[in-house]
Amino acid sequence: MSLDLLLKSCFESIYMVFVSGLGSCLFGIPLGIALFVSKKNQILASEVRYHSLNTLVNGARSVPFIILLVAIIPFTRFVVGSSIGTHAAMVPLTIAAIPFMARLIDGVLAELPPGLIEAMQSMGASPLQIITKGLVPEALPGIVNAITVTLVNLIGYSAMAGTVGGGGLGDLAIRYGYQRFDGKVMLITVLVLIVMVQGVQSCGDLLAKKLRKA
Amino acid sequence: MIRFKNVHKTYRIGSKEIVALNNIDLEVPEGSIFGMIGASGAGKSSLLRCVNGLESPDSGQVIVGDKDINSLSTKELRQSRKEMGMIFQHFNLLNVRNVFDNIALPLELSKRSASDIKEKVSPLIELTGLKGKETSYPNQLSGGQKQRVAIARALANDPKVLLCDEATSALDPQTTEQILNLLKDINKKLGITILLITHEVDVIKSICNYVALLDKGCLVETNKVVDFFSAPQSKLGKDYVNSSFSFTLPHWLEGQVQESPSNDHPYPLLKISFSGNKVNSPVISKASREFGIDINILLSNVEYIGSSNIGAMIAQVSGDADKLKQCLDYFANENLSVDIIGYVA
Repeated sequence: MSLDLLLKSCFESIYMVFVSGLGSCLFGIPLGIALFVSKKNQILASEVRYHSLNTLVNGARSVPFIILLVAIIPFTRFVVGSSIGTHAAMVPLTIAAIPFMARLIDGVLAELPPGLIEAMQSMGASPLQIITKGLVPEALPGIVNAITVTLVNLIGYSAMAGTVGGGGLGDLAIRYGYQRFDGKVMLITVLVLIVMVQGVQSCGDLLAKKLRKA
Repeated sequence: MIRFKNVHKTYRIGSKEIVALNNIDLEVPEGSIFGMIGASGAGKSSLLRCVNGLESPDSGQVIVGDKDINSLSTKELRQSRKEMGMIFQHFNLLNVRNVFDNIALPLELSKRSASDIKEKVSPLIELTGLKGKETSYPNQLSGGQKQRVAIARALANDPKVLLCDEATSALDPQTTEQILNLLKDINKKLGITILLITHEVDVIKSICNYVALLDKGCLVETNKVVDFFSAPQSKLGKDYVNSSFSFTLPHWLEGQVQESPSNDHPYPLLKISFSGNKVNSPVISKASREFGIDINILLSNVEYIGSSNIGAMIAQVSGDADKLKQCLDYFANENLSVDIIGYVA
């Protein structure tokens, strides 16, 4: 195995994780907020909305990733025009990460002191203002943690995506390490994955700490 | 200023119905500091939240100024909330905002310009004694400082009413006093009507003009604070007043008091109560001098509420029987109420 191949796989992995991470933030964070504010006694309480969103999130989360991967192939083909390759892998990765992220965000918001919302209501804030000026800024350190956890999960999932020809480090480990009985490749990919996860986690922790004033 | 008209509210917990507010009728005069006191679960918190619509009654009206809070549209309600400030037991500051930005928040919500905000926040920082703390974050502040920030924030929109939800219950006694003094100051300087709820009778005693007593959702008593402490109208009121002026006899004395006078226990133990009327002359020393008796004050707890003294003292009086009788008459003439607790040696 050449260093080129390792670097290429690394890049593919990072690319997959980055894009699907971005997608999961874009859709997962608003979904998590929507889930939270729709709950009973919340600022935009709606039983119908809450139950639909909740069912959607739970349903999506109950499908094991490896099954999701193949189950949504038609959709993937529709979106990126192909069902194999790095781009194709991003679609199921994003789909899997959105409800995961949403659930984490819901949890982060639920941890905020209940008095915060009451205080903002007492100032005459609108629900949108409560979200943008209160909930999100106050939950930002927690949101960063949620993003970190999601990214770490995506790194793991992206390795699985390798099995459908998604490329990346998982693909490398399976094809070279497992199928060619090359223990060295296996070891190196595992080490690289560990370093990546550690890196993401440390950056996330650092950022969250910085945001958590004093 | 604030008027509760037959405000009624029930909660349902499982199949049980709990009356949180039972036909409350109450008026809070403009410019007053109005205290509502009661045990937890008495309904005071619900009543307070009805004023700015955080809760709404099942029936009845809450009128603030000329607005019926429950008939307002969502938008109108938000607008009238901006005319009321509210502070909380746990301060409810935004942790990621510094002191200045916390105080600026209500102004931001009203979309005021940055220069406007600055102009508004600086005097509030001055007023609440937070100078030099503008860039500190809530986690770097003490409880008292946090409540000061919350007060400044509540005042940012120039409210006519300040609602205080157990504002000093999480603070130590010294800080409580400082915060209460600040509230008193604000009431005086800005003429804001303050409606507060508390479970501590001392809070009522130190800053309120009026008091309302709540118990299990019912209004038990409404009174001017001076009258409340001198002559509470309800049993619960009496309990609160007594708990505020504690009159436990000293331990060494307890076993020695007899109910009726005898040869070896001839001297009366008096409880002399000051109940809000003016006591201008030095009655104790005068009595002692005029009747040639000894007055030994064992316990005294007399305070000024408003401009009247309220409280009582316990004194042992010794001298000959005739003179004692004259002395008691004299006290009665001076408008002091005197009870004989017992007789001692």
